[in-house]
Amino acid sequence: MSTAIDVSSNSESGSAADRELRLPVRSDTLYRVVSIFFVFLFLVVGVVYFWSILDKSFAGWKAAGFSFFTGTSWNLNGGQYGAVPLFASTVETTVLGMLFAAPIGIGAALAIIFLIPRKLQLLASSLVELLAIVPSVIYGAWGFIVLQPIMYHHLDPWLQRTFHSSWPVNGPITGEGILLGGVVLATMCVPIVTAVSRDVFEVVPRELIEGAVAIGATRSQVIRRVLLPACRSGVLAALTLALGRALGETIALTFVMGGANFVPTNLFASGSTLASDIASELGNGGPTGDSVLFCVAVCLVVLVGLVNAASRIIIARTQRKFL
Amino acid sequence: MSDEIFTATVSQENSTPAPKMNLEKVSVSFAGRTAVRDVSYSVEPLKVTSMIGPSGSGKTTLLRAMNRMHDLTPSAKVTGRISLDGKDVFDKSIRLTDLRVRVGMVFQRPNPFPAMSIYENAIAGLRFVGVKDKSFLQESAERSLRAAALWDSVKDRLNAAAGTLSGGEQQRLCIARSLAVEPEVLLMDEPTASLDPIATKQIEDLTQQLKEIVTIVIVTHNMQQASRVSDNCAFLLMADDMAGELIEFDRTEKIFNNPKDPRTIDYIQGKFG
Amino acid sequence: MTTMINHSMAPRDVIRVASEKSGRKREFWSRFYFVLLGISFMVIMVPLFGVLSTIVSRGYHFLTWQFISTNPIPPTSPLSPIGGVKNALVGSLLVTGIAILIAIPLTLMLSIAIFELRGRLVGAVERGVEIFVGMPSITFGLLISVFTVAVTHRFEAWYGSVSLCFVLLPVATVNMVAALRSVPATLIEAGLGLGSRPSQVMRRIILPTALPRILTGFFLSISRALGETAPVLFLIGAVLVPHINPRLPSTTLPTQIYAYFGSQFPSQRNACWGMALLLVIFVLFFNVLSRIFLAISKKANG
Repeated sequence: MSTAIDVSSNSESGSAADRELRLPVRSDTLYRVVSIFFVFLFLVVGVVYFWSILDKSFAGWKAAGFSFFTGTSWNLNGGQYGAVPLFASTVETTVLGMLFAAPIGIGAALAIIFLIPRKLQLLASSLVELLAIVPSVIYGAWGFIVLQPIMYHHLDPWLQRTFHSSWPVNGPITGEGILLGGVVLATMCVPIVTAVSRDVFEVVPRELIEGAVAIGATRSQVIRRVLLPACRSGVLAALTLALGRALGETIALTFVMGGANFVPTNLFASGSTLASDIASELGNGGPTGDSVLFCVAVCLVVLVGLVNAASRIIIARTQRKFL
Repeated sequence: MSDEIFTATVSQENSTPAPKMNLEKVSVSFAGRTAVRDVSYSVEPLKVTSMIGPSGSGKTTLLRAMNRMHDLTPSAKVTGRISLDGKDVFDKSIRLTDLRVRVGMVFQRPNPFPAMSIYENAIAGLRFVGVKDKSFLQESAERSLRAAALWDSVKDRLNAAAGTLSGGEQQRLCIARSLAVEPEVLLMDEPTASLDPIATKQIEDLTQQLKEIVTIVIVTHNMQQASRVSDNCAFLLMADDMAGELIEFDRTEKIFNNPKDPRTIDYIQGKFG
Repeated sequence: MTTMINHSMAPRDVIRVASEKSGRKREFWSRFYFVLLGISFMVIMVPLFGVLSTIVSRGYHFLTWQFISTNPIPPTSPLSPIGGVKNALVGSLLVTGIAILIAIPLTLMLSIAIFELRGRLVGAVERGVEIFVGMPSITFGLLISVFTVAVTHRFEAWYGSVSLCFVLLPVATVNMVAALRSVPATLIEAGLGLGSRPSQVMRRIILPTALPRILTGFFLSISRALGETAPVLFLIGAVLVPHINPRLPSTTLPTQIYAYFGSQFPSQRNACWGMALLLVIFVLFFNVLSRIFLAISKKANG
């Protein structure tokens, strides 16, 4: 699958990127002018994007006021614009999803490289990538038709019994809600984690592994104490890509979350993330409601942007330290 | 008169120690293709044994068989007997990790663990084995870094990342890392191949000091290096079917000044390779 | 478990003893760790087969010529037949097709610009494109609706195409820039050395060499565009008859699935799985095409 981060630059002969090629574009005037035009075009469109979303949200900020960030009642129809339920839902489902997807995704990548025989490796990674191809609307449908009954009839009651209805399994069970949302998100994010991690692990120099083997490390010690720490920045990149996907996932969650009027306080409570609420409720609250949804969009854009920026910094820091 | 000769012979036999490692008709093949065939020689304890020969003669392949590195390659097959202190290294009773603690390896390109500091690299082997006592670890780190002639350069920056060292220093760190687990044999696979002449000389001098505490087997492309550092020398050559063979094994002075096999003579005189 | 170090023992013996003692434990944990790794992989296989088997088992009997070639019949009673989904198939073709047509030249020019030009502004643009890769697709739908639906009060197919373009362009650009940069510098220098202008070098050397990798990204984009719902949901409306007029509203497979899933009529709800199966087949097809070109590009580069 295509990933935005090129983690493997293994060109031996020296590619254009490696050599920092400077072509004399100045002499090719038309070529240069057209290229510059498109650069500016992109900049203009980018600015328009951010500005328009901000612009359309002004009415919403006016209507909601500061209680947008503090209010815990969300009801577009009824004029209540406290968005904390949305923030809470987003954080809860995303954290849950990543909590599942990170270890499973990294573990699967390690399994593909170190456990599965060489001849089957391509098949194994293709299978994992199949999960990435499935469109989100189908994940939503499957989550609702297949997962939700399983959770309603089997998993949720079992969880509630095993943990004696203590938090966070203490709510009324509907099958939908935060837990199901987290599971669906995890399913969608795992292939990203696995694919990018696998690319990272594949280009680890053989000598590194052999060096650890040669002083008596067991296979798991080689992976845990040498390979994984050395691949820290690459794995972080994988997790960040997955996190971005989780934050922005819209359609699948509209099927399985149940909608939020209040802050979901346990795993079985229904909720609505920032992204999925926009899709669910566009048109629900009249023009004011729509404008408030633009405020939600602004928050979503800022959140995704911050996460990306933070990860870039962290990745740069870890790379600098250990390279 | 004859009594003196008789006594001299006997005392000579008694003073030859048992070999540290012994190879008997060792062959290594990959997916059916033989890389090195029927090599037999013994590694004298606390001496430097070198393996020389042109590319493809199987020196590195043979070296890596001695600490069972080929176990990592599914297509590799090792036949014959490789023994350490008389015991077959493939014997089920020897734990693989224990073998590698006793028979260490230094690689062609320095490979310090990038996510660890200099200190952590030095004690990495001890940590793997499960030693936790802090004072012991610190003593070991100093001991092994001194033995690798690196202590004075790094003692003030033990927490710095390993990547901040120069190439020669990194290689010595790798040597220190191997020494920290107190191996009995140290296998060196062209350890100076990627280093500059000064760093190369430092490692060669180090080899002479280290042989007082570990038995060394060194593979080198550079026969002058072999003549400088080793006590015994094995000359390997690729046969017509692309498999490496042992042509001659003897004391280094003999190999270089008075070799028996004409092919050895050709190699030493630089006719090929 | 801290082993008490007997400082009267030689260090070598200390290490040997520690190694002996911990040997079995370490091997056990190593095996355990690998069991966990294997379980991680198996865990992923569960939803994979779950989703695929659900789609196939529930959608298989919809794979009829009638389903593909006729239009939906609005159900009037719970037992009404569904008819077909030709409207959505043609609609997907239309909306996605126009999106691709718009995106190709834009991606091409923007990628070339990023590849050729230098300067802080260009660096900022490259960073900007990467930012857009991570943006939720619903925001593009919102943005476009501000300028289109809100203004004309109509749903039109090409609104969805433009929105899809926003989704595709960043990813396709990042891919294509990487493809251009993977061309060996020696080839480029050879071309310049012969006296060609940069535009000629691009046209005759770089693009042809990078073509397999470019196509990899191209087919991947098509595969992705076919499956997107959020960016087009509020822009194209819905229709029951197929057409290829971009100025009219339209329906794509994903939006129809989304709409029918919540329907009160079981016939429509069930038909979702037929549509889902069709969608997966198309998406898989383009994905496989993309893989083929990836393999071709890998073989060319060695």
